[in-house]
Amino acid sequence: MVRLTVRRLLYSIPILIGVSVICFLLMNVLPGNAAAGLINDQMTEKEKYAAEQSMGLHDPLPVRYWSWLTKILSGDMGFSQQRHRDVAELLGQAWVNTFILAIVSAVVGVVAGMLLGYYAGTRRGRWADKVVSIFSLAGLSIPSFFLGIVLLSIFAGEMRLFPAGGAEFGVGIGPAIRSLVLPVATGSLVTAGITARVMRASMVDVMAADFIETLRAKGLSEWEVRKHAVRNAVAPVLTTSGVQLGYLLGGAVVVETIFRWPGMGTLTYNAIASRDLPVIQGSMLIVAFAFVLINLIVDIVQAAIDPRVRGTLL
Amino acid sequence: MRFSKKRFARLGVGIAVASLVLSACGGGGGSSSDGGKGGGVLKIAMTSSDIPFTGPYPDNGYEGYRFVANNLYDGLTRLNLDQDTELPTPQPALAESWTPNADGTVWTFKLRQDVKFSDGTPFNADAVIFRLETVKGDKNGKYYDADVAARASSFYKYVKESGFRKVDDYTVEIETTQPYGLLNYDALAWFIPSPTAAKKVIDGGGTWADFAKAPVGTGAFTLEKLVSGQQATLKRNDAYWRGAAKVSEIDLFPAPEAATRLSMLQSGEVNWAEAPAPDSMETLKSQGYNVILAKYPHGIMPRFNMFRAPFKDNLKLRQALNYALDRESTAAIINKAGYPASQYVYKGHPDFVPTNEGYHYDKAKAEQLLADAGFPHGAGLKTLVFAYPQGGSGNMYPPEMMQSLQQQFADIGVKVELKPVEWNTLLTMGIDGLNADQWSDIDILWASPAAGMVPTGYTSTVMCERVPGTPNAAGLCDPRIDAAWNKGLAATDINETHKLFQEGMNVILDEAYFLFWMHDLNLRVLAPEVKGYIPVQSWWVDFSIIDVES
Repeated sequence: MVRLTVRRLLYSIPILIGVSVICFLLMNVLPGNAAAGLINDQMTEKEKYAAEQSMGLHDPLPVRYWSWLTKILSGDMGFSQQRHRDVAELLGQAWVNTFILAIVSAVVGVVAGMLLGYYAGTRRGRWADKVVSIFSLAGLSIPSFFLGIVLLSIFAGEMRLFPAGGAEFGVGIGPAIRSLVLPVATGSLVTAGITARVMRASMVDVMAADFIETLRAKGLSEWEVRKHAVRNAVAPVLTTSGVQLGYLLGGAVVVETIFRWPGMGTLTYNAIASRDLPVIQGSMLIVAFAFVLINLIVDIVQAAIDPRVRGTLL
Repeated sequence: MRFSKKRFARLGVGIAVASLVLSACGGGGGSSSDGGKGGGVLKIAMTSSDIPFTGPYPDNGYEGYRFVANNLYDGLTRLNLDQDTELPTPQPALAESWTPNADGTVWTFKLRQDVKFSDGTPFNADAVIFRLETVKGDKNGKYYDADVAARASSFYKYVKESGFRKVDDYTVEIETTQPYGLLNYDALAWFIPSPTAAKKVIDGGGTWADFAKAPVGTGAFTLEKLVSGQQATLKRNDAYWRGAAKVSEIDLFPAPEAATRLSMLQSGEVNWAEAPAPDSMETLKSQGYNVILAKYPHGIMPRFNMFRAPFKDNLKLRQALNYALDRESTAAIINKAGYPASQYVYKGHPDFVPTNEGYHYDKAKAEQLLADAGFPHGAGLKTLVFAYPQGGSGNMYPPEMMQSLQQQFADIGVKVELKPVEWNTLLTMGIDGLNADQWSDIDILWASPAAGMVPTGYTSTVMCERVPGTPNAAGLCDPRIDAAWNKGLAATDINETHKLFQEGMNVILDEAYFLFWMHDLNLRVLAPEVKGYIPVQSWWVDFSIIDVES
């Protein structure tokens, strides 16, 4: 396991470098002048050139990349002219908010999905299976903007049970949990739906496998048989959960907008719309790194649970 | 497992109990602290997606002025926002009087002597000179504020570079770049920061952006808390020179989604909601909220890209599109939260041209003009790219309005590609211009001008010279307009100014330089406990006279 972990960590390094190169290049091949915010019509050509020079825009690309990378590594992600704030400060705040929302949504979605998938998979063809299938399909089909607005209208607007948005951290555990309920309910539905479908299919396959019959023939109770089945069925769920968590960490724009959640999704969306290049670069980098890290963790956890997959991992 | 009514009821009660328990676990964050001098808390759901910049010049359009800059800072002048009978005009603020010389090239401002910044330091001529130096002084100076110099350039356009001086501790003289009669209007937005506080930040290695984290002005409120993207808390300045505000605190919440603002209002999280969904008006009225609709100088007047074809040198095409707009239908779609515009400003405004009927819906005329323009039934005309925001300060209801417009143009054979952009992006387009590479594909640009709120507001929109940081993005340049406007700007009698602006407006109408579309009625909903609100003919509000009853 240690060798595998070290190997996977080493493999992550070129991936991360590749990600940083892509982030940098994407922002530098876009049409338009990155110094547009510093230039105006009243400037002379010399002043315009100086403004571009101050941003290093006349240096060769590799020099600019290295300069950019070393700044990032030292914690300097630049300054957002549009937001009048340091990018690291903006991303730091947004990342914490999104991280909390994503983790809670992922845990709720994955746990609920696994329970439902398990329940349906062990009752194949029965009414419970059909109900779970309908639920998971609905989870995947209901647009989150619609669900969010409905939940907001009923539970915040009409019943006043939960706040109509905002991340209430720093004023006690109660408000924090209350502020999480509606966005988590909206954001975790897709995860729950996907997880339930994957878990159900996996359970159905495993329960039909020969070793299940062997276990039963050995006289194991049905509860013990299912424990073995779950351990074998959980691998594909872990893989999809990793992808789902990565997606949630990227920030769900719709959920964050409706519930006024100041996270990565809205920050990145607004940055893209306003061509706020330092923020776009920073957020791309952070989300990409998070994806790589999560995949790494998922692989290691998978290998820990299921020795068969150890040899298949790089 | 059967879900009987009883089980559903239990589930509902369970959620309610859990919610109450969680509420009880809170740290009392929702309590209304009154600072010991009374007054409730005004909680506002804004349309912007972030808290406007808290430095001495805001962003996020006029929401930034209304909620942040005008509360944290003062200008040398202020609008009389305590009446709704006429268009507000400049009144004494940090300057108690001002006098232009005969040709309006030198203005003398006499300053108040009883004003202190919220850090306790005195306001005086040095503070005014410091502000002007940071914007119109040495560009390489230590305290030069390049951000404000770029974004607020229209307000400082006529101030001569380094043409200002301290006469005595409470008198300053300001030279203008040309005969100019409206410097008292520009001075509304010369937000004066504390030089002591600003120098302390910058001398310590900080920037103006750092100053904005703990801004110090002379305003009726001070910044207590700022959580980017989520909330700002403004605390009453009890030592405010005009007398302390009635409310103890203003909480600002950015909420770009209309449905969210509605839910926040209904849940009691806010007691003031900007522009909730118009179809909620009747419900809100029946629930006891004060639904306010009032005329004010604001319209949606999209701009044609005059840098290139198809609109450059094609008057008939511009007129055709103006006649193709079924404004009544669009107004109905937004539940009459606005009303059709025939001109740039509304009837009754001092710049309205009574002798020009302007534009109205006439499909036959639109089709004829389109054919005369060389595009019968739209044949040969490119698909028009129309950039518009999804929301943001004063933008009314862009998605609904744009879908309506797209259909109306399609009715005469004109295809439109909708290009939604974020609000600040649209403002960026205003800085860059439609001749910039990245925006050159845009044919029509959404514009939501504060049409005529102040007479200085038009200049950058209608005059040839494009001032950076202003909304003149579309390349409009007509010597006849410039001539009228220059005379109007030079006149030191405001009535003469309006008369000359009418002449310019007449040309703008005849030449159909804009899509004269919709006047806004400024939908705003207040909870019953909010008292003292006056539906002033302005984008700005005097929050010091508003109260919130317990």
